[in-house]
Amino acid sequence: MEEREAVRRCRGGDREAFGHLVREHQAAVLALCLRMTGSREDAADAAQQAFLQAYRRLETYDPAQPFRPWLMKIAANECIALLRRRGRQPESGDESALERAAAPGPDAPALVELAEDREAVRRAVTALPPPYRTAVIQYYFEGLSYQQMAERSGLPTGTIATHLHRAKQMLRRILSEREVTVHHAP
Amino acid sequence: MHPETERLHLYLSGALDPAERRDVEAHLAGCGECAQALAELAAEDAALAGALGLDPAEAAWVESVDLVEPVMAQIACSPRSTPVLVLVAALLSLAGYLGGSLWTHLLDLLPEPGIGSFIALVRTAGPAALRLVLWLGEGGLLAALWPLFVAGAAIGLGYVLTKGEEKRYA
Repeated sequence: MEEREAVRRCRGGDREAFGHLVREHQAAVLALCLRMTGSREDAADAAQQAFLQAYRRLETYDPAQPFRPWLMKIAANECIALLRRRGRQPESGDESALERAAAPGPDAPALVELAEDREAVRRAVTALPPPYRTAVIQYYFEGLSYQQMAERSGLPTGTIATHLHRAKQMLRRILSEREVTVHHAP
Repeated sequence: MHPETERLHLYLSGALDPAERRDVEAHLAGCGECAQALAELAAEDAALAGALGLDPAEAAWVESVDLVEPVMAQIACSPRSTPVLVLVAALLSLAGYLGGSLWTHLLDLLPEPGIGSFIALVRTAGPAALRLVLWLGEGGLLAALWPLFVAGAAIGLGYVLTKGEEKRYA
């Protein structure tokens, strides 16, 4: 069954047609949720909720547009909502404090060196405030262009560039602090 | 003047328009410092993309999870969205309004006891405001309000069935 046909049938009341959409997109949604949450359990939970929300909001989907970006946006929002509910995400009021402390020290190693520790990078990404984390994952993980990110978020490309720039600064700072901790551990 | 880092990001990603791109390239051709900064940005991008990609264990997990059954079980008892309910509410409201108006006009046709002759006089010669008061007094008020009540109840029911669940994730 084609995606467009599945959406059409689902809108007509055929719930089983939605199963086709889940089967088609579940791997991409799970991968995104895994990178956003950093946990398999949370990823599975968020992905399931994302599909449920997509089903409920199917009337708002424009069939002239590709289905996956619309679904991935819902999934990213579900991840952020899930992390906030579980207290693993700073509330919006705390983000400015994080930003003020974002700049890495002058002696911090280069991000290229720090990024060699893949596991540390993934953990650091899950510590970023939601807009920065979303930008990093969309650009480096999903491989979206600035234009696609702007369309998905409704932000200008200049703002997307600022988010990515600050996100990289924060990553460098978080990773360099970890580096210091690891090297000075007894 | 050196371009800002954000601008170099935009240049790297191909998001600048042709004129802006030419400006950046003209600057890069004569500025070793910015050319070096651009090279570092590109290296950072490659490193982050590599670090964030799925490793084989994660890829295997992603492929092994099947969400079809749990999702289908959840949507089996989940209405899709409110627009259908809102449409039903709107149709009920319209039907109520038309029914109420019809009922009011039927009352007009009935002989009116007591002050009937006065009312008839007011209706033919009196101002529109008086006529409205009489219409409301004859049951038009109730006829006008009950469709609103039905619409409110239907929309409320729709909210409870759909948005109540969503609110948990807001």
